[in-house]
Amino acid sequence: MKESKVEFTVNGEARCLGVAQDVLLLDLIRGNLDLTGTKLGCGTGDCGACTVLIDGRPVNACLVYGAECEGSEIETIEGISQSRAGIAIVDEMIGADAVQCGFCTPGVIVTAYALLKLNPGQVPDDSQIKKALAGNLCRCTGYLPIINAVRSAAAKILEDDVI
Amino acid sequence: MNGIGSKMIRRDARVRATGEVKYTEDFVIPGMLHAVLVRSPLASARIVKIDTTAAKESDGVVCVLTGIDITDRCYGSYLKDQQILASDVVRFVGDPVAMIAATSLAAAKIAAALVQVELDPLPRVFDLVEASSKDSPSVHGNKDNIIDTVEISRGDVKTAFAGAHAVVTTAVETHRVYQGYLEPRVAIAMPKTPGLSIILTTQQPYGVRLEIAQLFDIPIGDVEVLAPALGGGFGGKLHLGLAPQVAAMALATGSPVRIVCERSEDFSTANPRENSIVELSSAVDTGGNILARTCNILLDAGAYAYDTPILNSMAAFYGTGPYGIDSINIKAHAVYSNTCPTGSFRGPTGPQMVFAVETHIDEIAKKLNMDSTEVRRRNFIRKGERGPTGDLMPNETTVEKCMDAVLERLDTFRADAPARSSSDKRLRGYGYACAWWSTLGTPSSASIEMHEDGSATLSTGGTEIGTGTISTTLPEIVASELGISLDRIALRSGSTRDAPFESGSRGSRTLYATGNAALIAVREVVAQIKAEASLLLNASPEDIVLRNARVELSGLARQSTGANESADRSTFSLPLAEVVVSAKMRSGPVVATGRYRAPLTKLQGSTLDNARFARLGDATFHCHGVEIALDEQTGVVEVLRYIAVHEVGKILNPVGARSQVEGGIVQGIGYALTENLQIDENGVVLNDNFHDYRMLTIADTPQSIETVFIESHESATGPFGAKGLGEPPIILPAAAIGSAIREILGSQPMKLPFDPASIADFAEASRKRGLQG
Amino acid sequence: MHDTYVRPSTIGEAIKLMENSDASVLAGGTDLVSMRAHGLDKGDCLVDLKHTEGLSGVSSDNGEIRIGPCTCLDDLISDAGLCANAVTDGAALVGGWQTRSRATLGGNICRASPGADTLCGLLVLDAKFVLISSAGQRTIDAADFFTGPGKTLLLSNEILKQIIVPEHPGSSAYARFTYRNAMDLSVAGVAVYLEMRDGLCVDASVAVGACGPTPLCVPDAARALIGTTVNESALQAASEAVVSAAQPIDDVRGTRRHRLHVLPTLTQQVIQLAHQRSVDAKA
Repeated sequence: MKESKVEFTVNGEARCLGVAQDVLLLDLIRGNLDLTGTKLGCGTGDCGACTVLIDGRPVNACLVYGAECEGSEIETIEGISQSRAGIAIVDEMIGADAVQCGFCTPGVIVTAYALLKLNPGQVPDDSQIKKALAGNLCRCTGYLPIINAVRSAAAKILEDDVI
Repeated sequence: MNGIGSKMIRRDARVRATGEVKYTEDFVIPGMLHAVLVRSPLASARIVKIDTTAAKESDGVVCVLTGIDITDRCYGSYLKDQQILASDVVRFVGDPVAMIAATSLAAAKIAAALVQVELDPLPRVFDLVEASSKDSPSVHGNKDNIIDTVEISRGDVKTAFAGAHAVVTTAVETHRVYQGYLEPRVAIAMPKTPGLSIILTTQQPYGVRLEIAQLFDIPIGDVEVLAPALGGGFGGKLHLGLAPQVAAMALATGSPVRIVCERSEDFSTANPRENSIVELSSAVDTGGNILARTCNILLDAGAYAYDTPILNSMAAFYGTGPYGIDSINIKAHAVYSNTCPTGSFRGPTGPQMVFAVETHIDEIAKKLNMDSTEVRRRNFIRKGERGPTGDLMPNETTVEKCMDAVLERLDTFRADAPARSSSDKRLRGYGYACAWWSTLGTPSSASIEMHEDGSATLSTGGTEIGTGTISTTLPEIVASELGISLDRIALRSGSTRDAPFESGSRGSRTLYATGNAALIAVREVVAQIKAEASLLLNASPEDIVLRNARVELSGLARQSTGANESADRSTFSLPLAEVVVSAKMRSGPVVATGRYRAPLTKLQGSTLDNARFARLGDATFHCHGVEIALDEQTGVVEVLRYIAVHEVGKILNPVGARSQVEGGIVQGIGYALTENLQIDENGVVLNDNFHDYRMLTIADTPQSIETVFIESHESATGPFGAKGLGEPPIILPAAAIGSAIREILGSQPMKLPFDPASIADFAEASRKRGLQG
Repeated sequence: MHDTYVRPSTIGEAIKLMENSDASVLAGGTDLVSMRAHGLDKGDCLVDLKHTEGLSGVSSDNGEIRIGPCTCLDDLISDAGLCANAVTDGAALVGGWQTRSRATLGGNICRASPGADTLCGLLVLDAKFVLISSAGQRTIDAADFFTGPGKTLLLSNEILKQIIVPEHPGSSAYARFTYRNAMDLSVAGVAVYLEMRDGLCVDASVAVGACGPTPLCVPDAARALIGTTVNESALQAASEAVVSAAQPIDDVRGTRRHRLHVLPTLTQQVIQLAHQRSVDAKA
């Protein structure tokens, strides 16, 4: 199978990979790059477990071909959870008991990070949080602790000015 | 007791949140082959021929198996009726008939498409009632489709019915729902010498180990099953999943093999909650007392038995609900059909039995023109009475207390509900439902080993499925008994290699049974430490306490020996580490294994036929109340405010407990309103994806969920007085919502789910009947 | 052997690539990736139009709003130059945020799912689609473009070059009925355009989606509104017209019966929303 060279950055690090047709960004992340924090949940863009950021926007990596990422900046949970804002979100998720089985959690954190990063200087209200996270399914928590966690993370980030 | 009863932070939450911990799909074994299954497109057919020639020659293919290449032994939790690969007959759309292993997943998929399966259609049956009839097409052999019937009887039902003031009959029909765990099922098998090693998305590694060993004739000790972090199970990962298939392929190829179930495949071939039909009849007197009850239950097992031969016992047990009924005759049948096999889902048979029983009691109240709350009060089972199987209620039952707490809160909801606005024309309704549930004290063991530095390792076969029990609450219990901090407890869990037998994370039992086993182990270890310390401190073991990582004379003992503050500390207090080392050198390593199984209480007064589930263990009591808004125009029911009251003994981890309640309620609301696994006229699952199978999103949550725990009735047998909680929250929402619909429309549908199309029709029909209040 | 993934920089390059019958257009990918995984698209060469000059962005010129087909739905929704309208209403309902970050207006149009949420709005706003290939350029009215479920007039060597929406003096809105508040595909959708003058409706357009093989214009519903104050009886008449025109079926998402049942309320709700917007716009 013919491969083309794709250059992009992942969590700030420049990468160059040979990518065959129909190989998904999700496959590259989990396979070639061995970053398994991004999960395969459904493969059809319905659950959000594979959420990563491409050029700052949250996307389902299961619906993006690796080749499409030429020249893009990819951020995964591994990178985001090291940032100061990401740490705040992780801390609040844990504190709010919003992590049960944890499978949806990386995707939730990536999306929440994007929400807060793209709306700096404000604490989102519940309807904004719900709209942003509607594409992240969780079967364990019933969502209420997640809403609380994102709200308090936003407040903390605002206070500490870390985004 | 540090930690117990206060906020516990999940020890393993951070590694899950950051994506660091590995789930089964994250394991890559060097040399691993990728496998896919070829599945039957027909619901019922004889296999004429399977041509694998082209598949075998396809690029990257290492091995192709069909039924004739492997053992024809069958497996199954209770009835061994399932082959690894169907070799003769296929019984549901998706029944696996062949398996490909290749060097890449893409290569395996290409080869799978090249397998030619020739099938000769056979008669098939999808409808549960039809399947249960004598004339139905037979799913297995020439037998009828009734796999198993359980019957519970007591007293004289006939006479009671004959002389009753009134007889009320209710029949309900419930649907199939999917567990919806976010992590798909994955199985990895690796041959080892001797035996087999399996990494599996499983809630019960020991059950898997047993069946795999039997299936492939390997000594049990040579099969190891590892359950890594699990991305949700909810009962759907109790069954062996794809372990038999990967094991067969690993043994055939001598290589590690991994199979990842695609989501659409999981939707249609896993083991959803069974659809069912429940008919209840009660003979009642003028005072609303239920004198006798008959109940007939049909559970759709699908094409293979799986857990249904025990679920029918559970269903039968729950045919009375938390009510004392003298004369009963309850029958529950597990029935085959040519559909995907059904299995356990959180609170198996609970949602439908609670729905049936609570709807029925409301119907009784309606018939007698009595208040339904009053009818419940008159019938609640009380201390000293016996449950349907003759199990004595040794303690005060708290279901009435739970109900009263809910009713009070619903009154407040009613009082402060906003007036109907011009923009929101929906009708508000209030409803509630009561239930009881079990805490299974099934076999558990756990080991504690003390280390030279005074830290300890807790080894348990229990799997952390997300409740926090194994990762956090159990270590917290052990730490508190040892008098050391939580971070001094290392945990080994989830693998058959690391610990002795464990029944699995299921049935609201982990905290109770595994907790008890851990307590037994740690108390034995404490006894060993105290025995050594008694020699070192020249004191009696009863006078010794463990605290702050030290072993010391209790305050009282210190006083009586006359030791005072200025005396050499080592005469009354020693570091725990020192005592452990000393014990090791004097009498052996400080280690103990706790083994636990709840004693079986004596049953009396009932006749049980085939009842595999016959006791609640330590009974728990529950009531849920709900405020809904019903849009008659569209049929949409929205859950506004929700109150959940649970009596489950002492709460050891309050935040974790509340999380279980909220998560279960949201699953239960999905069951009630929007989730429904639909099958077409050919037995094909239509909504095999997350956009057409409608689980609640964050945008669908209720406005609020309040959780109240009544802790006044500590369990006499649970660790620190705790009982099980995992399942009850999911079994009540449908019944509570039905009750609220009844309040608005005057009656409620007898069929689940309460989806918009059904409710719109029902509301229209109710309006026509003029039943609205 | 040609490349399997190409990014044409210009439209000229793109249409040349499309001469190859094995070429498949890749825009947002949120439909195409799934289709290819299921073998429903087997194109050998993926032509990624996201970086092609002139195919993204929203501009307005000479009384027309011009939208590049590769404009992702999120960008469309947040475009400062657009007021809330039936198309952006629909775009905001597609999937989750992750979907809208990638899915494009052009993709939603060319996939032509009968329930696709942007289509009814395009119909009521008289959108036109500019199609281009090596053979030349042509413009098709949205109302003529959709020919069946998943089927359009787009030829295999054509690409959608631009979506033109004439500026309208009135306001529009779209809403849909679903079981959940998010992530569902539409069970029934309605778009309405209204122009009000001195309290009277002088122009209107109504379309219904997910209730037929394509989104359907309902001229009778429009006629029921024009000349009225959009009062109770006009609302009633308009929704009856929508129910008459709809051809819903039973499918996995809903039943024919229920779709017809919810259409009246839905239609009235959308008319009122469009009406309120036109009132607010004047204020």
